[in-house]
Amino acid sequence: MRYILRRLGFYLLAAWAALTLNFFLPRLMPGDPAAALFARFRGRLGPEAMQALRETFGLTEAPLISQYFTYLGHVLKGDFGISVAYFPSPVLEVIGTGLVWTIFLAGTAVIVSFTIGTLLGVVSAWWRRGLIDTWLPSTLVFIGAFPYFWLAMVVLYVLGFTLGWFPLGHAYGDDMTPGFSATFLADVVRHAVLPIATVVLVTLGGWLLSMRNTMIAVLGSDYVNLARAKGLSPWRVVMRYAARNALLPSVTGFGMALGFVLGGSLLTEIVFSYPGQGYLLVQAVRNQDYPLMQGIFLVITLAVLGANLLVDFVYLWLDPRTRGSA
Amino acid sequence: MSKPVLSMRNICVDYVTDRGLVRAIDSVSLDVIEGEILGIAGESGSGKTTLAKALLRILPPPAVITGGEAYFEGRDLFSLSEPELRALRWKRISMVFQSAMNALNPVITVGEQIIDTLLAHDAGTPGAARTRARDLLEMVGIHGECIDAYTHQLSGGMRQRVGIALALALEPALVILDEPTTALDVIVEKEILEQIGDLQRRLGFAVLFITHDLARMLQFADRVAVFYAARLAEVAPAEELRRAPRHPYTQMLLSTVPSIRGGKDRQESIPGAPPSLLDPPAGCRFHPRCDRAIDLCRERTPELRELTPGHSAACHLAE
Repeated sequence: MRYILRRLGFYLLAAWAALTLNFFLPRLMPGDPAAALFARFRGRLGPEAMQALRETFGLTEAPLISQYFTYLGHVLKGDFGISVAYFPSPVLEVIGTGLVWTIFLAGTAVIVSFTIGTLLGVVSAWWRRGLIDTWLPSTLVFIGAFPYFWLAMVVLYVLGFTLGWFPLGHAYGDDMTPGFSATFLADVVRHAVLPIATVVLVTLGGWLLSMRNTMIAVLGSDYVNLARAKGLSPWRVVMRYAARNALLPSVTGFGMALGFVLGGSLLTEIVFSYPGQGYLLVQAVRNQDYPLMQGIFLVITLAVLGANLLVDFVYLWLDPRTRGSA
Repeated sequence: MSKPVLSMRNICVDYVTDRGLVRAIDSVSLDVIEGEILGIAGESGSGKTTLAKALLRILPPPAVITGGEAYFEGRDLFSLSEPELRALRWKRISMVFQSAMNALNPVITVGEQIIDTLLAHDAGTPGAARTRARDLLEMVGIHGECIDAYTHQLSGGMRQRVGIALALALEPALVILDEPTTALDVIVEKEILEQIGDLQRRLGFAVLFITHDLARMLQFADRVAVFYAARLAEVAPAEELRRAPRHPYTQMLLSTVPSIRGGKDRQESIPGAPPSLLDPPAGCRFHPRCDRAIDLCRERTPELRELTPGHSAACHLAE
């Protein structure tokens, strides 16, 4: 319990540090982003947007310290200002729609890849030098070594453009009305297959190798040997004694991957024109949309922190040695 | 002499390496009699642990059993099928590993590791198994509450006691102790050995006790087998081995054991080093370090010969 509180405290501190950096970074940049934007959008931005910009950056006449507290207050209320690229939607709303698609797309990809890769790693290590172990890791690592965007474009060209089996982009067809109807959901899945499959394809090898290698080390350990000597069934030896322990390092990797999911799978979303977080970030950079960028950066930071927190808790459950003196 | 519970016949174990096969156990024949404590002594790398793991068929690759038989209760352990072997493992032969630190799974409780063993051999319901696990822990002097402890919460001595409780869980006929006290200090070591001795007298199982500590072994074992470079050098009752060792290696080994009545003179050590098993010397493997070696020793490998009833040595010169 004390451990959990300590971890929570640490993450609150880290989140605060991230917020503070987010406040000071624009101020350390040369020039005045708000003025630059205003100049760029002269005539299209009303005084209301200018005001929003100034508020987002906190570029008021007030002293820095009070600007800082105003900023903190706004952030806590979820007020990140108004987006320039998607004018006049508030940043929070823009991020919100992108986030849903990203969580769905990249989240599914990471979970599928981790699960399949880890299981294949177990199989590979248990039947070491078997057929799977001989061919699968090297093949997957070979595939994983291709630049992702190239692989994704080839897949899109062959399966999407030439054969026409899958749609070329976007999260759902133009003729669909979003809602919880079966046809709409089926269409969403159809659109997600290629982006998810390509991400899984290139990341699978990493999960497989990491699990396989730890697993081989664990299989050579005395307690696995003892478990076999005890006359336990092979299934129990593999699952309860070997895989259970070999999973620990992979869980850390899984947490990191989950955290970066919300950063948006930039390349995936660009290749497949998927309206997620990464796609938004590109739009924000293109349009010099500082409020949106700031909002996205903050979401990424918080996501990484959140995922780490999650891993800490999962670790508590998986590895009793981290529980400290109970 | 009562009947053997385990009969090893010409057992050979090889390690497959890039430079060819390395014979880690070379035609070892040895009996373990019902209810006795048989000690196996030898230097590091002389093949003691390899033999123990070979008997349970848990040798990690690249070690392979390349010959011989091990008859246990009338059946050859080396030709049992995997399911037959699984049914016999632990129920009839169990083992206490060298390092208690590594022999227990760090992420599941001590109790679960005893209970899953009991359940794997159909020893009652989960509830009964839990009660039995508590009894076993208390039998080796650990508080029953420790059933829900993880290994990192126990001391080294307690972990090794858990290992012993685990080994006795199914009341096997043979328990292999692979240097069970190497990682412990002498006081805990003494306590644990006494406890094993007590339990052994009470439950009547046979013990294969492996150690490099010859002095300790002579106190603890009924009979002792001395290994040198993957082969048996001498087998004799402990008392007789101490009094009248026949093999020059055993003699030199015993002269390194400090005596409580001995003077302040420096302890002898055996000159030279054990041979590489990749390229063992021809003839008797001990001849390069033996001060009595004759030409015959360099040419012919001495067989293990029975010199007096129950006392054998592999030396051309022993009588």
